[in-house]
Order: sequence, then C-alpha cells, then structure tokens
Amino acid sequence: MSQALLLSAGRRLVGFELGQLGEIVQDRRVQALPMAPPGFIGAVSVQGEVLPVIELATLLGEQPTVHDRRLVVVSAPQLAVALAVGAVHGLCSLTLAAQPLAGTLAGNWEGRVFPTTRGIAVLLDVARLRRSLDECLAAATWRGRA
Amino acid sequence: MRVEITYKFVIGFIIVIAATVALNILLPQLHLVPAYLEQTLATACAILVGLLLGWGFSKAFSANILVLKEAAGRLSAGDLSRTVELPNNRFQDETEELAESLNRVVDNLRELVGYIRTSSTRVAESAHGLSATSEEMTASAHEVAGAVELISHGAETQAAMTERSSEHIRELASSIERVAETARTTAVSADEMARTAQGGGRTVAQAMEQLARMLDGVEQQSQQMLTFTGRVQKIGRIAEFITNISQKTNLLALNASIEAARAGEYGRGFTVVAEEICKLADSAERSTAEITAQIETLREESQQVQVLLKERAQEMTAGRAAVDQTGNAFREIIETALATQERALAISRLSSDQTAAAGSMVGVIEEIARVVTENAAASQQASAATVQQSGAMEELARSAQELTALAEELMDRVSQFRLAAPQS
Amino acid sequence: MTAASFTLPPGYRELFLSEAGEHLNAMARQLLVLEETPQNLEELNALFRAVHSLKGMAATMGYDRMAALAHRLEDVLARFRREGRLPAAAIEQLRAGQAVLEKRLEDIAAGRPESSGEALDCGPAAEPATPAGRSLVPGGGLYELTVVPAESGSVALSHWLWLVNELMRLGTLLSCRPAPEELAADRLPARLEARWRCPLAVEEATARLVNVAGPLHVELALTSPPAVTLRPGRAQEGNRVRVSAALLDRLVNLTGELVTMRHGLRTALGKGSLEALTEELEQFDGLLDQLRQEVLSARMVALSTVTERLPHLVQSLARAAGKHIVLRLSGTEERLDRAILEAVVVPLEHAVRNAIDHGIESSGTIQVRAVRQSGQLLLEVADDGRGMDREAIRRRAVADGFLTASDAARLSPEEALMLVCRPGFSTASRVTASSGRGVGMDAVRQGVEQLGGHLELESRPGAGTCVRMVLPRTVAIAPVLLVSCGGEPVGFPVTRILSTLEPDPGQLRRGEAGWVACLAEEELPLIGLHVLLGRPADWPSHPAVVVVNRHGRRLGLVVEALLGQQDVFIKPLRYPLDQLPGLCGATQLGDGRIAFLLEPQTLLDAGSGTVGLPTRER
Repeated sequence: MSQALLLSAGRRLVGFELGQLGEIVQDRRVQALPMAPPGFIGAVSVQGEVLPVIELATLLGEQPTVHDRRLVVVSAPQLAVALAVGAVHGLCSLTLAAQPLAGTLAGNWEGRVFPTTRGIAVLLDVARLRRSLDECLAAATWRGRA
Repeated sequence: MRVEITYKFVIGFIIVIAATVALNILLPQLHLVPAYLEQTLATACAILVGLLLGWGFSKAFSANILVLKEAAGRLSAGDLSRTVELPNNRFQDETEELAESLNRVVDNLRELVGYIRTSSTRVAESAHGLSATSEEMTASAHEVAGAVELISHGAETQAAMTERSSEHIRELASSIERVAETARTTAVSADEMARTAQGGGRTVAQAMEQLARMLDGVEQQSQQMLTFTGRVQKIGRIAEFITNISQKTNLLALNASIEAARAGEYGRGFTVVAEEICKLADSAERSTAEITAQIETLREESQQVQVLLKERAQEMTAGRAAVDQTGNAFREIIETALATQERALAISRLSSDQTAAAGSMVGVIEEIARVVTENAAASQQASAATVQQSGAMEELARSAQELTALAEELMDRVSQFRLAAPQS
Repeated sequence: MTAASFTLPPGYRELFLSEAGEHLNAMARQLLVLEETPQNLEELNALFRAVHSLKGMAATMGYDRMAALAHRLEDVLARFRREGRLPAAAIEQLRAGQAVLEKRLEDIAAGRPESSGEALDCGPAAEPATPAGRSLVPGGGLYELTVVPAESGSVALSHWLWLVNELMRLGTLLSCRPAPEELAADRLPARLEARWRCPLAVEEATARLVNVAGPLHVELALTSPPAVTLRPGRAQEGNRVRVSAALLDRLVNLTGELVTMRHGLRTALGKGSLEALTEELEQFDGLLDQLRQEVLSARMVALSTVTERLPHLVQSLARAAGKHIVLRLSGTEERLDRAILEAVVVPLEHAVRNAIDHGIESSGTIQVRAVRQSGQLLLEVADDGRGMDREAIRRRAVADGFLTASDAARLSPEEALMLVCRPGFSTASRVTASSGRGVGMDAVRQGVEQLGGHLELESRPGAGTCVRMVLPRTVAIAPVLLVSCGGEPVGFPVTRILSTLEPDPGQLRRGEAGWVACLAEEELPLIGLHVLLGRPADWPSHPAVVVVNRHGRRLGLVVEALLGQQDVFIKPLRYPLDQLPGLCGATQLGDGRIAFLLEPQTLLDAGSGTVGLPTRER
C-alpha cells in the first residue's frame, strides 16, 4: 500500500508518489530566474541547493490558480525542482492500484489515475515530470534558433 | 720787469728826443728827400714816434685802471666772489700792487661775511625753535586753562547734585522707616493666619486618608479585572500560536511521511506514525479552530467588561483627583501662610536694618557734599592761576617771535654778500 | 566473514572503495615507471606497499577473493624485491593482476559477487590474511561519550578540537556539550559529553579516539544498535577528500589564532577604539583568507590522478584501431578542484578518443598539456593528424540543415569550427566504436561549459587539431562580479569578463543595429542584460556596462549597477537549471538572496534567437 501526496494544479487533482518528494517548504522567498522558459516562475534555495520553482499547472497545460503558501520539493537523481501548486491537500493511500482509464475517459486523463475522496486524481511521478520539463525546455524560444 | 710809471714817461721822452736827433743826422746823409724837407720830415717822424709811444702807454694803463674800477664797483655791490685779475703786462707797475691789496681786502671781507652768515643762520634757527616751543607751550597752557575751567565747572555741578541726592536719601530713609513699621504689623497677622490654616489642614488630611483608602480598594478591583481581560486576550494569541503550530505540525508530518516513504522498507513503520501525526495535527487544527471561536466570544465579552471597567476607573480617578486637589489646596494655603509669615518677619528684620543703613547713608552723603564743595572752590582757584600762567606764556611767545624776526633780517642782510662764484 | 560484509555500514564500504581505487591507480602508475626503470627500488617498495595495503583492506572488509589475489601479487613482488629488479614478464603478470583487481573492485562497487578473473586465483590457497588488531566487528551505532582530562598532562584547546574533529570525521555528532562552536571560541571545557553515531564497533572506535585524544580520557558506551539512515538519497558518502595531517595541523593552528583574534576583537570593541578595531579586523581578514586558502587547497587534486589512466587508454584504443600513437603528457602536476577534476574526466577522454579515431590517421602524437593561466587551467588535447577542413564543415552543416548557406558563409573561421560542437553534427567519414557520430565534441563542449569553462578549437587541414578546454581551477569559491539587473543580483565569473565601464549618458548613441557606446578607441555595441534575461525592466538611466567577449568580438552588456566583486561559493546547478543556457552556477549572497552566475558567451548565443544582436559581418 503506497501513498501519494494529493495536490491541486489548476482544476486538476494530482497525486505525487511520496517516495520521490524531498520535502514541503513554506513561505520561502522566490527569486527571479534568468532565461526562464514559461512555467518557471523563479528560484528558491532549499537546504543549500538552488532549485527552480515550477508552476505545476502550466506544466500540465492547465490555467494556473492562486498558489498555496507551500512549495512541494521534488528531489530525485534525475531532477530537483520546487513545485508551486494550487493547494496541498494531504496524504492519500493508493488503495486500488492506479490504472490507466479505459475508453473515452482516457482522452481526458493521460497516465494513471486513482480515486480519492475529493475526486479522481492523476498520478504523477518524476519520469512524467521530467518528460514535461523536457518538452517545455525544448519549446523555449532560445532552443528554437537555427 | 717792474717799471714805474714815472720812469716810463721819462724813457718815452728820451726816445722822442733821441729819435729827432738821430733823424736829423741820418736824413741828410741818406739824401732821400730834398734838404728843405729834411727838417720837416725829422720833426714829423719825431712827432709820430712820440704819438705811438704815448698811445701805447696810456692804453695799458687805462686798461688796468678800468679793471680796478670794476673790481671796486663789485666790492661795493657786495660781490666777494671774484678776485681782481689784471691783464698780463710785460712791464708791471703800481696798478698791480693796487690790485693785490684790493684782493687782500676781498679775502678778509669774505671771511668776515661767511662767519656772520653762519652765526646768523644759527641764531635764526634757535629763534625759530624758541618761537615754536613757546607757541606749543602757549597752546598747552590754553588747553590746561580750558580743562581746569571744565573741572571747576563740573565740581560746581557735582556739588549741586550731591546736595540734591542727600535730600532724596533723607526722604528714602524716612520711607524705609515707614515700611518697617508696616512689615512688623504684617508679620503679626501672618502668624495668626498660619495657625488657623494648620488647624484646617489637619481636618482635611484625615478626610482624605479615608477617601484614598476607599479609592485604592476600588482601583485594585478594576486592575484585577483588567489583568483578567488581558489574559483572555493573551489566550487569543495563544490560540493563534496553536493554529500556527498545528499547521507546522501538519507540514512536519507531511515531510515525515515523505521521509518515511523515501526510506522505503525501513520507513514503513514510521509511515504509520507519520500518518498518525498527520491526523493528530489535523484534529488539533480542527479543535484549535473551535477553541479560537470560543475564545473569540469570550474575548469580545471581556472586551466589553474591560471598557466598562475602564470608564469606572476613570470616574474613580477623577473623584480621587478632586479630593487630592482639596488636600493639596489646604496644604498650599498653609504653606503660603507660613511662607508669608516668614517673609513678613524677614521684611521687618530687613527694614530695620535698612533704616539704620539709611541713617548712616545720610551721614556719608553729607560728608561727600562737603568734600565736593571744597573741591569746587579749589578747582576755581586753580582755574584762575592757570589763566595767569597762560598770559605769561603768551608774552614769552611774542618775544620769541620778535627775536625770530630780527634773526631773519640779519640773515637777509648777510645773504646779500656773495661768497663764492655761482655754481653752475 | 563474507556474510558480515553485507551488513557493513555503507559509509565504511564507500571508504574502502575509494581507498582501494586509489591504491589500484597508484599500482598502475608505479608499474609504468618500473617498466622504464626496472631497478627503481623506491617505486618497487611503493608498489609493494600499495599491494599490501590493498590486501589488508580487502581482508578486513571480508572481500576474500580480492585479498587472496593481492596476497599472491604480494608474494611475487616480495621475491623480486629481494632481487632488486622487476623483469618485464613479472610486470606483465602484475599488470594483469592489477586489471583483475580493478574488475573485482567494480564488482564490489556494483554489489556483485567478485567473479571476474577466476583463472588468476589458482596457486597456493590464499590464507585469509587478517592483520592482527584490525579485526572489525560489524556494529557500532549510537554511543554515549564522556571525555575528561586525564590527571597527568596539561590539556590544550587543540586536543579538544582534535578529538571533536575526529568524532565528526568518524561519525555524526548528534549532540555535544559544550558545542563544537563553543569549543572553538575560547573556553577550555572541564568535561565533554556527546551523543555520537558511528558505524565503528566499540573497540575500533575507542582505539581511533585514543589515538587522537592525547591527555584526554575517553569513555565510550554503546546505547543502541545502528539505526536506519533516513535519507539514503542525500547522504553522499562518496565525496571524500583525503586531508594530510599537516594540513589539519595548520587548520587547527589557524583556528587557534582565530580564537585569539576574537579576544583581540572583543578587547578592541570594549575599548571602543576604531583604530584598534580596524587593525584587528584587518588581521582577522588576513587569517580568514589564509584559512580559506588552506581549506580550498584541501580540495585541490593534481591533474595526474586523472591523466595517469590516459597511457593505458591510448594504448588500448590505438591497438584496437591499429594505429601507432605516442602520448605526451605535460603539466599534469597542476592542481584542480576535485569536483572539476572528476567532471573533466569524461570530456578529456572524449577528446582523446576523438583524436585517435578522427585526428590521427595511422601514426602520430597526441599531446595532452595543462597550463595554468590567471586562475584558469587550459587543458589541451592536440594531435598532429589531418585536422579539420572548415569548408567541409560549412558544407556539411548546410547539407545537414543546421543553417542556411548564407549564414554559413557569414561565420568567422572560429565559429565555423565550433559547428562541430552542435549536437548531432559529425564530419567523420567513418563511424567507429568508441567515437560515434559527432557525439564526441558535443559532449566535450557541454561538459566543459557545465563546469563554468568554455571550449576552444584550433585546426587546419593537415596541421592537426587542438581541443582546448578552458577550465576554472576552483569551483567552490571564485571571484564574481555582481551586477544588478531587473532589481535582482546576477553575477559574472570575473575570468569571463574583459572590463567594466560606467559611460556618460552622452557617450551612448542609438545606431542602426542598436545601442552603441562611443568610446575613445572603439564603438562598443551594447545589449541590455534585462532584455537578454527576459526581465521586465527599463533601459537604465545611468547604465553600467560589462564588457565581454563574444567569439573574439567585444560586446557590452548593460546593467543597472555594478554591485562589486566578491569571492563567492559557487553552487553547481542540477537538472533542469543546468539546461537553461547562459547559467553556469548560483550562489547565495550574505543576505540570503540567490545570485545566478552567467556565462556570457553561451548566454549571448542563446539570446541571439530572441534579441536582435548586432549582425556579425566578417
């Protein structure tokens, strides 16, 4: 029985695999980040490491809403970022194995989903995040040069 | 070669005769002219020779005489600058000697005039100095006379003023005496007043003490109420603090769960704990929210009580202030009365001293008046003496001026003599 | 024993791996020397010592097969040591043995059983060689520690510091009374109590501590078995540095001096004399500088620790390619920060592989040269091979669709050469196993730029190629020019800028291609840094200019203000920040703000797509 951290990003509910998170920090000063592509809203210093602050909603193609005071720090060998999210709801158990949705619903929910008391959430992990980041970086203007 | 004039004439005569004789002898022998003419020719020749010689002699002579005449003329005009010098002659005569003696006269005169001139210059200088000095002295004498006059005038004024001051002082002394009298009466009445006020003050103090005790009690009560409401407010803050803590606990619990998840197998046990903490934090947050709500109502009520209490306390304080004021007023009256009494006594003491002092002051000022009058007389005498002295000084200055005029005249005269050739 | 090795704390294993690796490197180096001078007794002894240590360590850790092999090699060496020379055959044998040991070490590192090189294990059965007194009982955990001065002998502050230092080195101080900072301050404690987590067993820990305790009496009691480390991801045990005892001594001395200095400072402060205070502060400054130097020097490692693998590499690659290649090394005694050194290995090997595969045709020389140049290290890999043809590169770039023909024609010679560093670009006619399709130069360039350095290429057809990596020598602390842009601080490594100016507003003019500063000697094209960084800011009213080099041309970056030069601790960036062009690190300023460090050249290259950079005419 694994657990996930339940978040809001835009209108979406997102569960993040707990083992891939670093920590949750509160009230940190977010500074401007040079050469920042869209979705990168700044930089923050966590445990002596400088991390980009990334708006999860933008990364998932959602309209961003008001941010929670807390930043969710993802810390994995492949990437280390601080996620700005709409709200941190708390822990939830993945009682049922999260599964890809079948049929017409799958169009709305890419990846694995799981039910929670607040609704159906997408399960997000570092690999998925990294893919989104790669796309975001590749789409940035300074990459588009000849 | 020196030839006297007499001899010169004799020699001329001899030459004429000799020439006549010689021609008479020579001419016939020469047969130059017919015989009948020989005598005539000889005579003519002799006359010619005689004329030539005579012209020569007289020319030299008259030249010397002219020079001498000129020199004598200069001398009479006072020009001693030049010596007499005759034109050079081969055959000198008495005119030379005359010129020499004339030159000696000029030398002697020059010496004499030079001496007189120096002396007269010195006299003139001294006379000038004397006259300047005497003028200065006259001027100072005049000044002194003026000053002395001023002094004597001042002394007179002083004397008059002194007279008037002594008059005033006498008046002052008498008024001081009157003041002293008044002060003595005042002191007596002030003493009475102070005694009365002290009696009143004691009564007020007793009343005040009772009132203050009462007020103290009331105030203590309201203070207790205030601390109580303050505590209630503080509880509100504590509730906020608890909310904060439970939020932090929540965050910590979340982080703990993350840690546990990262620890994998080892963290499994911990995950349960973290979850419990999470739940605990959640319920803590919920109950704190309730507590906060209750505290909020309590806080509002206590706030109202506090406002009421504050008003009461303000009223009490006002009452207390009024009593305090009365007491203070009495205290001030007593103090003032005492002070007045003291001051009246001090004034009467002082004014008797002043009366004595005024008496002695009158004596002193009369003494001063006498001295001043004497002073004025003396300075008038001095003024007269000074005027006399300045007259004598003027006399002296006049004599000195006359002497200067004389010396200047002498100088003038002497300067008519020219002692040296004009320097060009 | 074998079973025990699996329960060994990971920290201890890491220590073993790193030390054993060093011994194996030393062996390779010593064998090379002995090949040339077989009678070099000094090297022979050193080699013997290395093998012996390896054997001991492996046995202690319970890696029996490795210990056995080391034991056999030791036997061989012992025989020749008596003879005083090492024959070529023995060297070959030893080299083979060394290679197998390396393989086994890799197995151990990967957590596999030591399986490689079975054949070499024959011979007399290796007796488990466990040095007496070094037996390590796996265990350790949470200790309660009490330290009091022994009755005899005077205790100096340095003794306490030494002990605390050792405690921190061997384990984790959970609590310590008095705290280490207090100790470093001034007071001599009468007693020290600590809770200490250490992977060593009681006997071992006691022995280690007694070694350094001197006149201090240490009492140790185990209170709990080792707990689970909570953060395996963060505990980076691998980053160890060996520090010489002399350096530690110096550090302790310096610390002592700093403590004294603090007294002086306090006295001066008490007196309120500004002069005395200034003087003390100056001295303090000097000491801190010294301390920094010492600490930095602890991080410096000679380049030779990396380059000593190169002969081996070149030899094997040359053999595989059928080429005859001579490798010349110079300047390998130059020292670099170990973080840079570790990161430079891959680019360096890439460059060498490239030279062998593409540069040299059948025989030639590769020259690896390190030169220090004003705070930077130039690391050159030069070959005397066929070189690169700029025109061919241009043609290829156009053919592969990297840029248009007109763009290609406009490139300067240097820029044309740099085309080979584009991802996916290759002019190689052949594709070999080791150096594939153009990935070489791309990787080299990226590696070097990630280190805050940059890459330069020199090449002419027929005259060979020179790959020059310009590297910062220290990564940890470097002088940085801080400027203000869009209200936030950003930095430039001082080594990457040419100069700074604060021009009069009258000197700035708007030309056809943008703003220029009309200086006495030149017209400097200007670009607003805020435009480049995409920050919402206006063109500053009193701009300051940072002059940088862009492919050999001077260019002015306009900033709001120069904040001054500072020595800062540079933090390397991880994904995804390392993907943002122009960023070469970050640093945290005294007020807690983050200042990103910009690498001007890559920044400008990236910015050329978004802002109208002055056109580069040739």
